[in-house]
Amino acid sequence: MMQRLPGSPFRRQWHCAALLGLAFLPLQRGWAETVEQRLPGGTIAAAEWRAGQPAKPAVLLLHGFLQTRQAPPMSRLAGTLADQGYTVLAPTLSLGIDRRAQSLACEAVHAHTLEGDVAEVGLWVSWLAGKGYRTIVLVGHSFGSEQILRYVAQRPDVAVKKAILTSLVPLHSDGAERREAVAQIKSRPQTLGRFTLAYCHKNYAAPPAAFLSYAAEDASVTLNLLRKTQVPAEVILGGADTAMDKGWPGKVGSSGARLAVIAHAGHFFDGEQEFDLADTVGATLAAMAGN
Amino acid sequence: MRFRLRFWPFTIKAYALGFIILMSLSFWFLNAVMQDRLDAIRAEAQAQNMKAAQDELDQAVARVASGIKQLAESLASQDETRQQLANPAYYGYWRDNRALGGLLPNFTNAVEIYDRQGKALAPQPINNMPAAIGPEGIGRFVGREGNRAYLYIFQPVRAVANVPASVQGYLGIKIDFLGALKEEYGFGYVNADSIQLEGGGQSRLPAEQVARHLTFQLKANPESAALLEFLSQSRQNIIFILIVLSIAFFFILHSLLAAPLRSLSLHIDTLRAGRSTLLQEGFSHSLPVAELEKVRMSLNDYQNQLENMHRSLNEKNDELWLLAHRDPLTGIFNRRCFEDDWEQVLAVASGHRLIVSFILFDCDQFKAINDSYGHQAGDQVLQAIARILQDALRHGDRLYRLGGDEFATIFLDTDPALAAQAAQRCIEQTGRHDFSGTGVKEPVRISVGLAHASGNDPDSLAILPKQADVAMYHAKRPGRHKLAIFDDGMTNDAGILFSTRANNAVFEAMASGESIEMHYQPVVNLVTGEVDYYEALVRIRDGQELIMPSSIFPIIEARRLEAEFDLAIIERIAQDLAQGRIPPDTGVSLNVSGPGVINPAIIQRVMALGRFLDRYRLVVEVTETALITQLHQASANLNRLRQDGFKIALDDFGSGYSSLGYLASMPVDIIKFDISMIRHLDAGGRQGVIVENLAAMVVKAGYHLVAEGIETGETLKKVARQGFARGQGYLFGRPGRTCEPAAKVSFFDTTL
Repeated sequence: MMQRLPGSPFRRQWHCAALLGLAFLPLQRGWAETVEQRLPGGTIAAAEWRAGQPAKPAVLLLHGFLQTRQAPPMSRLAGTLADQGYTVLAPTLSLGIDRRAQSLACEAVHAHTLEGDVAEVGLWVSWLAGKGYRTIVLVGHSFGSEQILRYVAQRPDVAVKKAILTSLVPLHSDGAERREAVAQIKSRPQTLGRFTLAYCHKNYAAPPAAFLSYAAEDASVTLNLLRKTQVPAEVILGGADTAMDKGWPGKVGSSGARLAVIAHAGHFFDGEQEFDLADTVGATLAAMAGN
Repeated sequence: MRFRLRFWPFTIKAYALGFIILMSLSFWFLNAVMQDRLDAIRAEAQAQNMKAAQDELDQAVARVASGIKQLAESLASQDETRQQLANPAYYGYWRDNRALGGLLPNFTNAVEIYDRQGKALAPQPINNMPAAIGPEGIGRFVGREGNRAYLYIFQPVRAVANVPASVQGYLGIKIDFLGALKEEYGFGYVNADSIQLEGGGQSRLPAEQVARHLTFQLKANPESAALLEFLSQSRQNIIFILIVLSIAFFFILHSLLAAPLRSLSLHIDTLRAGRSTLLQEGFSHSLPVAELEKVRMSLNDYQNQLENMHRSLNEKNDELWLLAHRDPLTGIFNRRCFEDDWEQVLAVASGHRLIVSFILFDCDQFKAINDSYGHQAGDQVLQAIARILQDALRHGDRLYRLGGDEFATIFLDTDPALAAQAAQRCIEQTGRHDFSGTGVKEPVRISVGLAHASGNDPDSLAILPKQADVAMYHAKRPGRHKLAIFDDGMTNDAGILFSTRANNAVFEAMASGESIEMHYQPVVNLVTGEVDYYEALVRIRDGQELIMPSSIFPIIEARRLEAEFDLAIIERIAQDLAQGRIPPDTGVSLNVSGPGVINPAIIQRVMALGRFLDRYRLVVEVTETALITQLHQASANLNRLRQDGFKIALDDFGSGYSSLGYLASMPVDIIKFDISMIRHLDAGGRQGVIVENLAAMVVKAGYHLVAEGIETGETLKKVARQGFARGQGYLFGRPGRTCEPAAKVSFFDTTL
């Protein structure tokens, strides 16, 4: 189910200003539009959509762990790609919250699951496909890449032609907590626990099952998914990304996925590396558009 | 006025105290003014602070209310809040751990989420949060719970921001309003702990009105308080410093001016009181003030001058005392000193059984020595006698020169025998002394009169010097021992001496010569019965009375005035002779004293009467005592008179020693038998025989005899028969002022 909601007055004014600027700009970023769709559980998920040139692939940009579509580097990349004429859809995973617009704190209630997230990605891919886009490229950042990878490793939409996985790193979790969570599922399945997950250190508040849905992922699973992916996957890593192990790029490269490492880039491709990322992604998209 | 008279002029200390009191009053007034000004400043600051505090509180309330509103709006717009409305399964976790655990400030008392119908998601809302809210409950208000005030805010939770219709529920927050004020606002003027919501009134106040219902107290304004404290402290410091300075000034004034001036004043008072011991101390320590130092130096100079003057005066006094109490000639104590000491002796001895001995020394025939050898020799004799006596006396005995050749000493509490021994020792040592060094070739003797009296007999003690004088008189008499101790038998003579009236009359007579009267008694030729000459007998007229020789001569002799009295008599006789009061072809016999005989001036004066020898027979009568004492000199003088035509008569022969050996060497022409001899002649017997033979022997020796005391014809016959050439007595006539002829006696009729 898809629902379109009008933009904010501010945004409308901004759009008017943008229209006036069309006469002066040879290449104008696509119209940004918030689109919503009600998830099966009733939760309303929202995404920003910029319609691009139909001939160019549609790009779905997925943010990182507990972030929103406004988080870098996806937010900037979305603008860049839209400016380049690509249709860009940047959803914000609802994580169980209607129209979630804010990143969630570790301490917030995390009843959402990885499976729900992947399903939500599938919904937005379907939404794009429903729009008639036959070439869809999924671009994820950090844990968003993991979620994209899990989607494309399963039964992705046929329109999905490529997966670009930036800063792909498996989530860090504690094995003991995982075992404890497993035990808790049986005894107190609804009780919130405080776990270590990714950058949340013993404060990730979640029911054990929800926690385990994310904590089950590890490096081997990720590498295995890379090998099993149904569409070509390209992995772009930052040469200076401290969130991953030093041997991770090698492991990724050995998985068969195409690997690009941007020198000096951190986990979020800040600074000049932002343009390198955009160029790398743009080059891939351009290649696909040429094809 | 009385106060002024009593205390004026004030002391420098009083002025200093007055200054301190004045300064203290000034300080007190200054302090009061400063305190009043500080109070005004404090009150003004208080008012300004109160206004600022009220504004501050209004602003704080507005800010807290606004802040809470923003906070509520923010929380209401959070995804997690909307998450609770969508899935309240973990609402309790969110409320207690998320909202109250960090999303809301610490002063948040409670938070609840209500659904679209206003029903609380929690079955049991916490901390009195309403279980349900209605449309009227939306907004902000302050409610009171006991003493605490809470700000409630109920904020819509919208699915889409700024879309009123998208209200999904409501967020209610309850905060400790006063705690929020304290925590959220840094009050500069309001004492945050004192903020209270007024009691009573509405239980629910709109947040916009709550500021008017808050009471508070001013926070101690650190700057203002510090400024006021500084001013107050400065005031106290200034006052303290001024007080310290005043006290210091007082002490400086006291030490620099008051104390020195007081010392100077005391010193001047001491000088004025004449306390010499302090005077000698001087004012030696220097004074710190130049003017005072100058005064001190001037005072010291003045004091030095005074001391010098005082010392000079003392020296002069000592000299004067010496002059007053020392005899300049002999160096021994003088009469003034004697009188002072005698007063002391009287004071000490009176009433006590102390024997006081008074010894009076007198140089025999000193006047003759003086006249013969000159005053210089006389002075040397006196000096020698003084030394002799001083040596002879005990150590410590005071020797006084009472006048002329008269010396004295006083023995206190001394055995009379010892006093007599001392007196005798003086006589002996004087007698042994060789006076030839003084030019005096003859022996110099002293006579001593000694008198004793007990302190218990004040009358005797008072006249002790006179008694010694009487004793001296006795000692002087020829043939007597040179030492005479007074006894009562001497009292009669003393009576004359002590007759003040007689004394005065004698001295006046000697001074003027006018009251001396010469009475003439005829000395009759026993052959013819005619007056041969008249014996001039002296009388002194005292008013209607006449003082007789028996009263005159003891005084004269006691005072050693024989020579002077002789002169007066000679002068009177010379006047009578010159005035023709003596009948022609008669004569005058005049009596010359013993000292007069050896006195050249007297002899010279007598010789001056020689001008009457051509008309009168002039006879000089001397006593044998006078001749025996100074026989050599007397003989020389009498011979000169005889050579000039005077006749010399030995008077009162038979009353004294009547030594025939002496008589032979005496240059006399006439011998007058004393009346006692004539009475012996009258009485007959052995004494009469002796007198008869003596008269016969004298006649044979060539002397003319004169019988005194012929009062009867029988006596006349006897003396005539014994060869007496002349007779004198009442039978022929009593002494009279005029020279009367001799009374007619039948005896001469028969003999003729």
